[in-house]
Amino acid sequence: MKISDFFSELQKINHVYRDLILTSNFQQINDTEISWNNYSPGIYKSLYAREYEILVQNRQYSFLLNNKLGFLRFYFKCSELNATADKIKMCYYPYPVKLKDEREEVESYYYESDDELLQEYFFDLWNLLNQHFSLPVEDPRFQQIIALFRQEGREIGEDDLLYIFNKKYDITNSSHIRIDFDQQVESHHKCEIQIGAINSLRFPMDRAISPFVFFDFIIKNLDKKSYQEISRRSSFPPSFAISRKKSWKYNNRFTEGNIYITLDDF
Amino acid sequence: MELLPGNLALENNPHELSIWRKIASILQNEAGILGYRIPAIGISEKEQIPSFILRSEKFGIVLLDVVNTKITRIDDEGTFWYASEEEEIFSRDITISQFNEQIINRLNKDFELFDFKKRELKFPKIRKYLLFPENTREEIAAIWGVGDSTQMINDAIATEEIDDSLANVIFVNRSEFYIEKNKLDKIDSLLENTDRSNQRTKSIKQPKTVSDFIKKSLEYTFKLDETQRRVAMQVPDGPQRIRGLAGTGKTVILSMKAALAHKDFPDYKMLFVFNTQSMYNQIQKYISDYYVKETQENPNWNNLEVLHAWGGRGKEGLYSRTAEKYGVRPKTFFEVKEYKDPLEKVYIDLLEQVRSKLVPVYDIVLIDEAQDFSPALFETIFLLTKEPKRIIWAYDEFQSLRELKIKECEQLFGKNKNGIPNLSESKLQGCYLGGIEKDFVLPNSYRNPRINLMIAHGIGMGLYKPSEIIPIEDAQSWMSRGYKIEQPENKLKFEYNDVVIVERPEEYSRNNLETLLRENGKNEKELVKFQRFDQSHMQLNQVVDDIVSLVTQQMVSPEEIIVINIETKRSEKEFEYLRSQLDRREIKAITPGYIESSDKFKEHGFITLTTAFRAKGNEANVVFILNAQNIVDNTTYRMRNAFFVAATRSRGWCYIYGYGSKSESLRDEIDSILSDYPRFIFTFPRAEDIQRRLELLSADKDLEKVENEIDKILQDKTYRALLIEKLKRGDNEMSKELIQLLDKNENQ
Repeated sequence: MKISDFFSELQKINHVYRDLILTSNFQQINDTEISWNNYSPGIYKSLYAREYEILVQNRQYSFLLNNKLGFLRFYFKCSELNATADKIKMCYYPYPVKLKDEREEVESYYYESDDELLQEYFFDLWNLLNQHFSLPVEDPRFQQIIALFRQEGREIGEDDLLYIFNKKYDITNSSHIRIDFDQQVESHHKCEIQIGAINSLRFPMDRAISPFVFFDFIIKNLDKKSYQEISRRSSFPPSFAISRKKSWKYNNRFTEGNIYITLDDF
Repeated sequence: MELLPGNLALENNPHELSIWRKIASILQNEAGILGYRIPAIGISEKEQIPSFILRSEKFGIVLLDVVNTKITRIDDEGTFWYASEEEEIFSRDITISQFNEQIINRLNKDFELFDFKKRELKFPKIRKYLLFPENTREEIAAIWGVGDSTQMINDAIATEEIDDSLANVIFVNRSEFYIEKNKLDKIDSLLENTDRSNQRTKSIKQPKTVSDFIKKSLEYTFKLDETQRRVAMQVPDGPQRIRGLAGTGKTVILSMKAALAHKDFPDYKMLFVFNTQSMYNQIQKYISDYYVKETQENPNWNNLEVLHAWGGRGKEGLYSRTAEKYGVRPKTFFEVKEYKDPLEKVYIDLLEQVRSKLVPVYDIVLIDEAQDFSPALFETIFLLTKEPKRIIWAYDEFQSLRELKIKECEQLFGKNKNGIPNLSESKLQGCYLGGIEKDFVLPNSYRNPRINLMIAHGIGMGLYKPSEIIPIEDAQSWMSRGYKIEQPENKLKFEYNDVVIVERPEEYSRNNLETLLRENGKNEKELVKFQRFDQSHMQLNQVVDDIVSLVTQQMVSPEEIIVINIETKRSEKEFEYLRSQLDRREIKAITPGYIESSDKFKEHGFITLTTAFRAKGNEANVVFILNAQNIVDNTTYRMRNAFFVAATRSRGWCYIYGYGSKSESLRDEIDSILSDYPRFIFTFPRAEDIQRRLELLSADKDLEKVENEIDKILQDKTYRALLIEKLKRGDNEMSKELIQLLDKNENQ
């Protein structure tokens, strides 16, 4: 795959999945690279919600999705113009939390303030930590919960707090998922799936897939309803078929042995 | 004559005070500016500045220096003068001449003031006089009269000659003293360091696009206007309140005051407190720019502390510093985030713990954005400030409808042990020396075009919607917000059924876009445009089209556009739609607080989509207001408030959108305002109606929730019956109020 192919794949994504895209930000930054505006490589890894927030605030994405569905990043690098890819990185970052309640209910606490879901999550985390270190916490809602426990004759313990947490949040995502392709690499497989920041564990792939196919894979599984609508359009099947052909297979055959290849890092 | 007494009162020198009064009285009916050691033109040592500096068309520039002590002898060269054997002063004669040179150095960089070919000034030469209130003509002749080397360069006036010279020599009408107005304006702005024009940039001749008009409106010579200068150049010897609408230059004035006081009294401990985190760098820059130009040195930030009221990430604030100093663990934002006003909460707690222990440390405190602060903060500052409590607070008049009435000193500064207010409103009555009001009003607004401001005020207060009107009640408050009362005459407080006519005169509106449009054959009313639609999505699509056309055809930079949604419940969804639609058209937008961080406003290359609440404190050349129909029939009046905030964000164009049947009523309001412009004509409502609406407007309760509950109850037949029965009995407060209201309407 050449840089122009990669770019037109991204344009096609922008066109086909337009209804789901809030902001597109991909860019060819020079003759040999495609990334996004103000590309900055640093990542904040210790707390995923914070990492997510920082990346979004600094627009470190190629496509930001609607409806708090997260964002995707596409990076391409080759050695010279018109050469085939040296490096491809394709990542999906899910929105960090999902509430169990109807979101509106939880948010009704915040008159006049806008979406502060993540702030709320941090706040809860903070409460949890502070309780552990016995710092005075003066959040009245929190105090109320503790008072309720006491009414029932129970002292509130860490487990109870975790229970509250569990009741409130359906999912707290802890990382992103990505596909890396690296032509130069010798120590591990050239193309593999990596889950988040777990550097040592990677699943080898026997082919590099096109950006469109990756995007399609994410949307297909995340937002089935919208996907049905989009994929039903007459222009969709040919678009998909063409992109599918852009995936290319690798000589180095997948073996189970490859899975463990980076365990040396431990 | 405009008087700038500066620190005359603080210096408290009897000779200077008496001569100042004499000059002020001679010149009282003349035009011009008389300053005490003002302008300082970059000289930090006050001894190197002559006592009085006059700038006027009629008399030109005059320097007068008062030699305060009796001179007994001078050294051989005349460089040092001796008052007694102990006291040696540097020749005032040389000092005043050097000052003269400094002025010329400043002015000879300007083509209009200096002829570069002939190398001479294009205005009359500066006159210089030395006044000796302690020496007679005889003594002066004996000391300076003899040798050539000791002869004085400048004119000396002996004690017995002062009155006569001032009246009959110095301030006389002679054509050779005369300076043309345009040259004097230029001189003023160069000497006061307010000249921001750059003679090298080429200006737009014939503005065509919206972008041209914006650019052209930004290239102006910023010159402090008369009222701004009066208040900026003086450090009062006690409390002072500065009031003005947004965009009247309060932050600049406070910064100049800070720099000026720091220059003259470098040992004073000063504090500058503010509320908006992002203002920190701007305030520091204002102060240091002005200070560096005046003194060629950097401010000593140890004595001039610029502090946020609370403190930010890794940055000290007044709260955190004071708490730590008195051994209290400072609370973090998270700990009090559930409170309505977290900042108030931390200051209340702090006062509870350390009120009696606080020791005054500051000589001068300046408070910007005072309207955002609660009494607990003012009380803390009061207790931290030394006598005579030089606390100067700049109050943004009318940032929201909640501030129809200003908070008075008694409510702000707390009470002493005996329950007596620390500072009473009467302390702000009258003037400081030189005639500068203790309660100073800045009537000239630079930010908002007049039409914009009047739409904001007119809609905000519902002046053209009799059933929802909530006007400013007294004549004084109308005037302090830049209106002239035409009718009723000589009435301080308006009453029920008064037909009120107020006008916003052109002279108070200094936004030059208005003038610029008129000069180019356009009407300033074009700055406000209202469009209504049947359906919400039609409104949104029109917004997208209008933005696209502004950006692509009118060449407006995206960051100049702020879109404010008055509807908060659906705003997130609507912003998603707008953002995505704009993205399709290759125009990028940000939604601070939803996706980007909440302090990201007006990022280069991006349209800002936001709510009225978040838009506070920001301004832009083009403002879009969506869902403006929400203001109609809004029983809590909060939507009118949001509209008011939104419309006052614009320093240029204001595009208003609405949909549905309510938007027709809004259209009528806007049309009436436009047709009476620049006047408001309305009938004053009943006091109890205003009172009730104010109650709603200033409540901190979740009124929307209660309103929903009431609506729900009223839908139920049985509950409705119950309510009517209860009201008919007439034995509760509400029935009484209702009966009174109905009676009055019948009498009408």
